[in-house]
Amino acid sequence: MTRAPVVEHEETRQPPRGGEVVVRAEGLGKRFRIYPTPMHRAREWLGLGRGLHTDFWAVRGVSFEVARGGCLGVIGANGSGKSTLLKMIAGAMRPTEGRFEVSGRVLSLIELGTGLNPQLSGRANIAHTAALLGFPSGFARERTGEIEAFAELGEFFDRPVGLYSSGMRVRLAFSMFACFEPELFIVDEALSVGDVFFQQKCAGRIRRLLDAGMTMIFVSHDQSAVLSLCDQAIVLERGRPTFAGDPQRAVSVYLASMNVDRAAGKWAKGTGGGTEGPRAGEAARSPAKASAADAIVARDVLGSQRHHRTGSGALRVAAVRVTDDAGRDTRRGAVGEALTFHVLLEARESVVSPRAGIRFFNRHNILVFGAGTYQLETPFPSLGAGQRAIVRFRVTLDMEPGSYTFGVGAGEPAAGDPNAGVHHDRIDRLGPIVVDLPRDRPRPFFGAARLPMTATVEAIA
Amino acid sequence: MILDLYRHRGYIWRTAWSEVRTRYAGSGMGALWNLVQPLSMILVFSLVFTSIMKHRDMGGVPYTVYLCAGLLPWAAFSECLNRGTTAFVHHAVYLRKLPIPEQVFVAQTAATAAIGLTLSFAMLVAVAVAMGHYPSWHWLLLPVPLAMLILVGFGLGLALGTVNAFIRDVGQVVPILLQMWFWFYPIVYHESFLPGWLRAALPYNPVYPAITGIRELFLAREVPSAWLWAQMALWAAGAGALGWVVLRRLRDELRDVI
Repeated sequence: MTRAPVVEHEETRQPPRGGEVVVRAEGLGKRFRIYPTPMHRAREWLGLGRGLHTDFWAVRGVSFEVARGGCLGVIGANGSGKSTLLKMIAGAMRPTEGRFEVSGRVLSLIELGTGLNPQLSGRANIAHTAALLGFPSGFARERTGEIEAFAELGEFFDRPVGLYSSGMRVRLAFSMFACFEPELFIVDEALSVGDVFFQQKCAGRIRRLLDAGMTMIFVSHDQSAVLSLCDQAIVLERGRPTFAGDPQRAVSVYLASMNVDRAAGKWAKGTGGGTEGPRAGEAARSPAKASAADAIVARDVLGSQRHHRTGSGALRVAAVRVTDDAGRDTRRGAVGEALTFHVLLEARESVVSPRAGIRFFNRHNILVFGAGTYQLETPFPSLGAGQRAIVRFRVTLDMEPGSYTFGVGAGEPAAGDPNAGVHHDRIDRLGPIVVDLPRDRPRPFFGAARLPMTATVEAIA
Repeated sequence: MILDLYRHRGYIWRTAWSEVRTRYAGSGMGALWNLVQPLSMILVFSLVFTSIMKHRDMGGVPYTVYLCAGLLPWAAFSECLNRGTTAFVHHAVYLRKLPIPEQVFVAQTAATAAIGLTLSFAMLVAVAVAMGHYPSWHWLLLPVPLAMLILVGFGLGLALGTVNAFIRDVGQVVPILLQMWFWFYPIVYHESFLPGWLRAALPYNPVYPAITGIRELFLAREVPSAWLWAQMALWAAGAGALGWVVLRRLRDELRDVI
């Protein structure tokens, strides 16, 4: 039996008190110069042209301090400059501006196993990596035994790394880095590889190292990991820090920023045309209903996916909001809990028998479940042109723990066959929706999804 | 810069050695190929130049010995420059992610070339003695010009390697230039075959002082003039300084483009 990745929800780590500052960054910034071709660069070097490049600031104005034993989380969407920031801290990239100080040995897990030489054995690779990082030669020798024990590679430890599976490489690399006892440890998403038992072992080791006074900088999309490990966090958005401080608040700022971002884009587009603006007063007539519609628009999760849509557009999905039973915006829930998907529909033409539905895909892109108002036989009155409607799907997450994408669609029955439909609008690849399995609860079922099932036991004498 | 190299000396030597040993890993003869390569080259040049072009005697030295005294150092220099030029691009994975000083990778290719040169020159000494070219105490000085030559290769390689990271055309041009350089420089033939103006330009060639020094020590068993020693040192220092200046100017962006 395998256990699903366990996410620990526990109290935020308390920052160590009165520790000396190990890492200090002041106004760090990195500018990339982008040239149309390498020859333009050569022309600038030779003084034969000026301003042939465009500047791109991947990161700018980032400042922070981390004390000994502290853990800084860096949160941001893809392309927000997280990796660039980490590379600067790790010394693999030079900052264009700002100052950066770090005392002690820095190790980064930016790319686990980058320095591994496939022709050398695991054992020889320890010496190789230590030499690569400029450590004295005795340093690796002393720790080889400990690394061997931690990595649990068995006889493979003395075989060429080229024969390792990717999981084994990760084991070796993590074991090496954890046993090299860095003063500052930089961890990217890398830790999510390897099997779950090793992951837990790594997490335990990291905790121990932190308690022993190691300092860590941690980048992740995994909000629960940030919450459980970090005592402070910064949120990056397009290379600029938008928040620095408490990790809990950082996570909400990050989530909110994504929603606001998307809603802002939507409004800008809508109001630009004047008459094309949101028809709140016109369609959803009562103020309460209008504000429900506005809330969906404000917390819309469609984002850029709104462009990846198919269908005639006669009945459009204008916005989607996801909440839990307490009404909080989230895209995460434990197995057996329910999420509600609020779908705001907008009819561009009159639609006589509208229907709407939702579907869930697992990480193998296999449809796990899909249903809608037609399947549930939910009454859905016809809509006139310009009218709007809110459809709410409350879905119990009786699915295998993991990440899912979802899709929403709206349509009408096809002429002549009520079981077939014509899609007026369909948007897939939304989400992700994350289904967790809390550690303290038994797993309620096995497999992709829960089927209604009862059990009886009859003892026979 | 030099301090960084010193700090990483363990890595430089380790990888240089393992490269010499494992370059032909998976082949039946393994490290022996390190010797087969230069041997076959020497055989071809010897055959062509002695039996077809009728080069026999180069001032009392068998042609093969004359040839090797120039060819082996040149091969090491050329390898140094060629691979130094592509060193950063080759090690992009490391440069993008690890805080290793850039020059370490060029130093590593230079060290590999130096090890190869030491081995091949030791072999040449044995062959030369077997062919009746008797040893002399002058040969003890040979490591100095050999090392100077490698240093020139290191410095130029560092400069070209840095530029190549930005403009990859450099990596394509260098082998072509090296090929031309090889044939316009008296390595396989004697310098008396060159037209006057080319001969006059010879002393300005970066490899000239070192290769001339090697030949004087090894073939003529003479100690080169003080001026020649100075030239060797100047070229080595000049090339090193050039590499350093180029890297220092461009290092801020080097890892961004690789």
